[in-house]
Amino acid sequence: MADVPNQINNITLKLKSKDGEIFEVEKPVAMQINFVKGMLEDVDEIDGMEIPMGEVEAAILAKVVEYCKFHYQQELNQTNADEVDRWERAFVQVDKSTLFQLILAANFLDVQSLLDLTCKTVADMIKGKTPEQIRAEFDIDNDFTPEQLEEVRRDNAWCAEDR
Amino acid sequence: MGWRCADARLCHLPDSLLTRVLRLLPVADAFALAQCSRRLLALFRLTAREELDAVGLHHRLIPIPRSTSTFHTRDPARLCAAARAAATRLRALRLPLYDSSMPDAHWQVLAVARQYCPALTSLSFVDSHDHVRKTPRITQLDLLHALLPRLSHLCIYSLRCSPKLSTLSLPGFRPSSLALLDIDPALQPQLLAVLPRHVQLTHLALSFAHIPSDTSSFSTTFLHALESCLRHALPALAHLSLFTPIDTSPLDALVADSCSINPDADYFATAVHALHSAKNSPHTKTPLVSLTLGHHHLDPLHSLSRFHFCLSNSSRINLYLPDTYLTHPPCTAANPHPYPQLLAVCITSMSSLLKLPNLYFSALSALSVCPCTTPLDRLISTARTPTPDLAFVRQLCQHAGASLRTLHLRLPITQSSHSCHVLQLLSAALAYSSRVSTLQVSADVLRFPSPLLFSLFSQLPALQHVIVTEALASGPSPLATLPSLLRALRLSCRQLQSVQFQYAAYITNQQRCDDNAISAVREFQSQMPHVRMDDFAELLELSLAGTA
Repeated sequence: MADVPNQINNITLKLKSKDGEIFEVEKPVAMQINFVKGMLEDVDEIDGMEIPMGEVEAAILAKVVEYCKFHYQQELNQTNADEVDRWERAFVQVDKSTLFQLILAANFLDVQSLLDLTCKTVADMIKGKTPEQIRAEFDIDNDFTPEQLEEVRRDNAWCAEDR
Repeated sequence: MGWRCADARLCHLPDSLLTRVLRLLPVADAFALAQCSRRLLALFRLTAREELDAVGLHHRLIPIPRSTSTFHTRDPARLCAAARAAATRLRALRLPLYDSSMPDAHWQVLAVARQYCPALTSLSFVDSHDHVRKTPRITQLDLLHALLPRLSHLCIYSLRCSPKLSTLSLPGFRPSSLALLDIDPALQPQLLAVLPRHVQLTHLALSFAHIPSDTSSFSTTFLHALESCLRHALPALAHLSLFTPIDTSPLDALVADSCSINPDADYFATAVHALHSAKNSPHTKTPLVSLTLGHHHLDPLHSLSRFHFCLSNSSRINLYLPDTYLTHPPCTAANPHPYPQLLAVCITSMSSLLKLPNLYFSALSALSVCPCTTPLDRLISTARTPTPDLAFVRQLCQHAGASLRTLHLRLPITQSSHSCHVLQLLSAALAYSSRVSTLQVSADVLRFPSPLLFSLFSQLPALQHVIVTEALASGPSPLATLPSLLRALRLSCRQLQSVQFQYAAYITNQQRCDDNAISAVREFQSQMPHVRMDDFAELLELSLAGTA
């Protein structure tokens, strides 16, 4: 990581996960989390304060912090787009449960770029699959009757034309 | 937060996040996902509608939530997908002026409309206050040309160049309704050459971008030519709309000058006399039955006295003013509250109209003209005493008497404590309207306590069609009293044929109705099977989406 000349950047914040784990994070990294940013606007003294991160568990918060650190550094280092792309693709190579928890955490903590990345990952997993394959992949219960499904398909036949 | 489950799954995502995923998918994949469950299908449909609204694309069978009007997508492919979703039912397309974030969206949507929308008969390039006003770039005239033969209505804004105007001369283009707005006055000669080709026109609306500084010459020349055109070339024309220019300054100058020099030279007065004379001469087959005079920047009192002057010289012209005209009147320091006088002038003007055979149209226009929204809003917020506003509605209803068939009431009711008072006034108005067969009300009316709802509908025994539109005022969800509305309709309105619940499109997932409302809808359907119920399906869909 490149040196950060600003003294303020040496301040660390303590982010507390739902299960009590504390993550000490440099302030500029933590400020990428809008939830934290908003909270700090209402507080005068942050020294030693533990910032509760709602329902986000330690394993997921660790991923969020890892994401924010990388993006903070890549901004400083002007990392090229291909490298960022490679890193992000590796970052979202996680099991589905983790991926959905990351989406929920990104939404709750308001990290828009992470939310975009994770939602796009899910969208990419859906692309090209049939409804049956999607149901199997994501464990979705089919609550249509065969007749209802047939009617839906008939009414929206145009949607499938692109395939 | 609802996501504490360690084994998180797709279906644990809230609607907002699933919608986000849906928007990232090409339409075929989004539809594949939609087929996985009823909740996903409901979200897919809602997503498509948001995108319809994003381009100001409306089709008249399904109302589109206004609450999503700020949503913008930068992906024209998604817009087109949304257009295709509405495809077979789409009858009218309204495209806002050029939006820099979607430079080609118009044309992509038109391409889709051409291919997928066989029922499309109305196309409007409209002004939109939500966007920066710029002339739409008609870069693909061939697309427009391909659509023209199937259009019965075309509205083009910002007619500033000859190629667009020449479009109107295409041999296959035979609209019955044509609106050419914001025309460059320099195009007058071409305009007057094009109009006579459209002998089938029944509706015509014209406005100029500005009036040249030589106003009297402009008025005389143009109106003389238009008069001649109406007299000889447009035998079927029955509805003419003339809008004053968008730019305020030349118009203000025009009115001020004409007023100070000679009232008879007033542009509108001249227009009314000339056009009325042209269309009502003994040789004309179709007299003018409506003349719309709309503008936005004049002092309402001043201009209404002028209209009154015009009307007193004619018994066959309707006056129609756009809602915006009266709901946003310019208030001056000298006359901060012009309504009482305005209403007096308006009633005097209307009284002559209400004697006409086309009473239905006049009364409806009058009610849409009447400043229901703002003054009633004021009434409710300031509260206790009757104001002239609903008294005005009552007076109109009284004039209309037994002839009144359609009633539109915009009632921004915020609290039930005020509703008794509103209902008293409304009842007084409705006492003259027992034969109203179509009632369109804002969903605010559902904020009436149940007994008052019964009281309201018991006064309308001839009611056949009810349309509940969006709520105007914020406040408690009107859905709680939906069962009361349905019960009141069932018990009081024996001639009921249809209930349209357009408000359903404005309900957010957070407001979705409870089991009581759903049961009431189903009960009503089973007990009144002959009554057509539009848009209730969406209510049930939302409910499904909420419980999935």
